[in-house]
Parts: sequence; C-alpha cells; structure tokens
Amino acid sequence: MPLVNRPAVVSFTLVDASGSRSQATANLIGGILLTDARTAAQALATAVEAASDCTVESYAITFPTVETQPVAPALNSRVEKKGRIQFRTSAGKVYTFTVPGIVNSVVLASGQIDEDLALITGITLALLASPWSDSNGATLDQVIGAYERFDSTSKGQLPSSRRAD
Amino acid sequence: MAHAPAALVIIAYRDASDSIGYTRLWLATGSVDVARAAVATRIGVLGALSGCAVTGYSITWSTHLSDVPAPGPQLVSTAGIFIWQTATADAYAVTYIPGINATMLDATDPAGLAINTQKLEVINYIAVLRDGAFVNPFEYDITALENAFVQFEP
Repeated sequence: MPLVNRPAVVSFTLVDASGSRSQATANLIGGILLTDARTAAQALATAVEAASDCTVESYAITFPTVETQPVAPALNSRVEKKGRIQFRTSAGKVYTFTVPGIVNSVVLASGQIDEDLALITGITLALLASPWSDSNGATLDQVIGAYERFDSTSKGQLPSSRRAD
Repeated sequence: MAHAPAALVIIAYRDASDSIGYTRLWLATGSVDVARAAVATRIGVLGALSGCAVTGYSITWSTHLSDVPAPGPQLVSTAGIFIWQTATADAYAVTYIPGINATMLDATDPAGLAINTQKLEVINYIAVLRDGAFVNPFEYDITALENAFVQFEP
C-alpha cells in the first residue's frame, strides 16, 4: 500500500468585471516547503495579474498524495453509510468528523457509535491532540457525540436500493 | 494577504460500488512534513474503521489576497494559453491566464491570436514559470516557452 506524494498544485481564483470566476493552475516541484511554495505562488499571482484584466482573489496550494495500490473495498461497502463523530472546539463550535463506509462492528443497535471501542478512541484521542483543528484553527476539545448516518456523497453514487451483483 | 488559519485535509475513499467518499479535516500547521506525518498516522486507523479503501489524500493551504484591484474589461473566457517545453523531450506543460489583457496580443502574425512574448508583462510571467519552482504534472522542470496564443473558452 504505497502512498506516493505528487507535485504540489497552486490554483489561483480570478474574477472578471462581470463577476465570473476562473482558475489558473501550475504545478510546483515535489518536496517544496510551504513557505517557498507561497513565495513562488505570490510571484506567479503578481505576474498573472499584470498580464490579465482579471483580479487574483486567492490561491490554494495543494499537496496531493495517492495510494498506488489500494486494497479492495469490503464486499457491499458503501460510502453513503457514514460514521459521524462530533467534537466541541475551543471556540465553542461543533466540528463533525466523517468516516465513509463505517464498519458495522462499531455501530450499536440504536445507531450510535460505541465511543469506548479502541477503534474509536484511536481516532478521537488523536484528533483531540495538536495539530488537528477546525477550519478556523480552533483546537478540538471534547467528543460530544458519535452516530451512524446515511448520506449522499458523489454524483456517481449508485441508488440506495441497488443490490450487489 | 491573509492565510487561512488551518490547512484542509481531504481523504478519499472508494467503496465496493466504485463510488467515492471523503473525510474532511483541518490541521493548524504551516509545515507540509508535519501535516503529512499527522495524516499518514491516521490513515491506518481510518482504514480499520471503514469498509472502503483509502485511495489518497490532499492537504491544501489557502490564501486570500487583500486590496485587490478592480478587474479590467476582458472576461475570464478570453484565456491566454501557454505551452511549455520541459526538461524531458516530448513532455510539455500548459498554463492559462484567464482574461488576458488585450495589449498582450500580437498585432501582426497572426493578429489578435498569438501572444506577444516581447511584452514586459509576458516576459515576467515566463521568467516566473522558468525560475525552477514550477514543473509539469509529471514533475518535469519547465524550461522554455514553446507557444502562446489566445483561446476563447465558454
């Protein structure tokens, strides 16, 4: 199961006078530090904006990693069957962590997830530790609930009534 | 310029029906190595919690620019296309400049379609792409501009 790092991608969002938005992307060398990537992205943003009538609003630098030999999914596994674990953040807000295709062994008959199982504490204790946070950078302070929920995920999902071939 | 306070981590899964699902998390760190290490140690736990197969993940840091100037008249659909040579023969890179300014276009040959590579703004753009940090998607270093032209995209 090798996880392979791919070149980083910087994606600029530009807006024109009509309010329409478009993307301009470029790849960055592998192993680049975030500070160096930001410096290169800022230089490119300046150069793009000088040659364009559009305004660069923002940019995002993404470091992708791909599994080149993924294991086979379990028979009848469904990404729509989600385990959701909710945390209270240090800012008093709620952050929900989602695991697609949650295994049945951690779900109780009530639909709750057994928070005392080692499989669950393994993930909750890790997320309660730095550097995990919510989108505003607030730390996750306590688990306030965990349950199973069926949810839609992708446009390509199969209908829920589909039976295994 | 304002950096987002946390990096977005997206972990991708594939189930038995080939549908794709995601877990979204955030990391309050400015280090790629720290972020990758934190994610890598969680992948195994998530793999045990899910019947789906983890197919990869991405870590994204976002930056919003402040004091942005008002856009000019050109729309984003008028894009400048730049095709680049790389350090590997027959492997190219392509970059776009949405809403390329009309003054960047070559007035002679072919008029209004080619990009004038002698314009200072275009020279600067070429120099930034060739500075060593930028590569094509296969990580081949961008070395020289092959061609540049305008393309209208819906």
